[in-house]
Amino acid sequence: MMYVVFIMSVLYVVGFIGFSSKPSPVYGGMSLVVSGGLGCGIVMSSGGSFLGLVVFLVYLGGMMVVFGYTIAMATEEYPETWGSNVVVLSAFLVGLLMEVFMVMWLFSGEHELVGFYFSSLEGLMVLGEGGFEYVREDYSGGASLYSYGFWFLAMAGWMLFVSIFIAIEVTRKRY
Amino acid sequence: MPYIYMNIMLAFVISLVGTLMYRSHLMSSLLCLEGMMLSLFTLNALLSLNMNFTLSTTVPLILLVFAACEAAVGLALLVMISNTYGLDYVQNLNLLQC
Repeated sequence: MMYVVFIMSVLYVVGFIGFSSKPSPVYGGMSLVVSGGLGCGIVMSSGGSFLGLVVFLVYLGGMMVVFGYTIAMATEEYPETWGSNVVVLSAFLVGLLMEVFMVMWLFSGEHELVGFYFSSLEGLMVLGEGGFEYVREDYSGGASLYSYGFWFLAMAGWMLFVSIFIAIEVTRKRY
Repeated sequence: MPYIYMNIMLAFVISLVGTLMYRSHLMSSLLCLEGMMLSLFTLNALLSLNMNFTLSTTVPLILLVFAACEAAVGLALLVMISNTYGLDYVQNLNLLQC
């Protein structure tokens, strides 16, 4: 069970190979959703529950839904999957072979794996004035966006606002 | 070098290669671009959390905002291409012929 995060990261790479071998975008979007879920699991096992929630809500629930609608609008009649085209299948198998070789090369080196990955409670403790306090790192990072990173917030908000106008102007019909 | 960071950087390189080598659909390249953003987000979040750089946990959030803007512009372009040509095949984009 201590390898579960490593197995999740291997499956993450397999998901990336899945949409990078270019099947029809319907199946590519599905593979990206699977990789997003596994990435959330990897981030959460390091103690970042807020950032995992951000991946699911904003990335999968916001951006991937929009991608899914656009794919449904601009898709073809017979989408090609990984098994229906020899080019896609061979690209997927070459990527899979590369990942297997990399895992074998990693495990043929040093044989101790304890100590490569810790998600411990000591990471949450800071030394305050009256002793030890507990702080959640990712929540305090999200909160510091509004205090220390105010200029980041202003620029990001302005950029989102301008990109709405960009999207409206790009999709204007010109006759 | 921890193994998980290596896997996530490998995932970034795989989607970078997938972005640069396009097949028939433009949408597949946009999906690989989103994959690059996802792997960058995961790598940033893991590094900020594991090295206890507390203030730099804002970096994945900012990155996600920029990735959303980029996806919006890319999808707007794809919608216009799809409206003009019926499908988003890359071979349709042949107005500039050298």
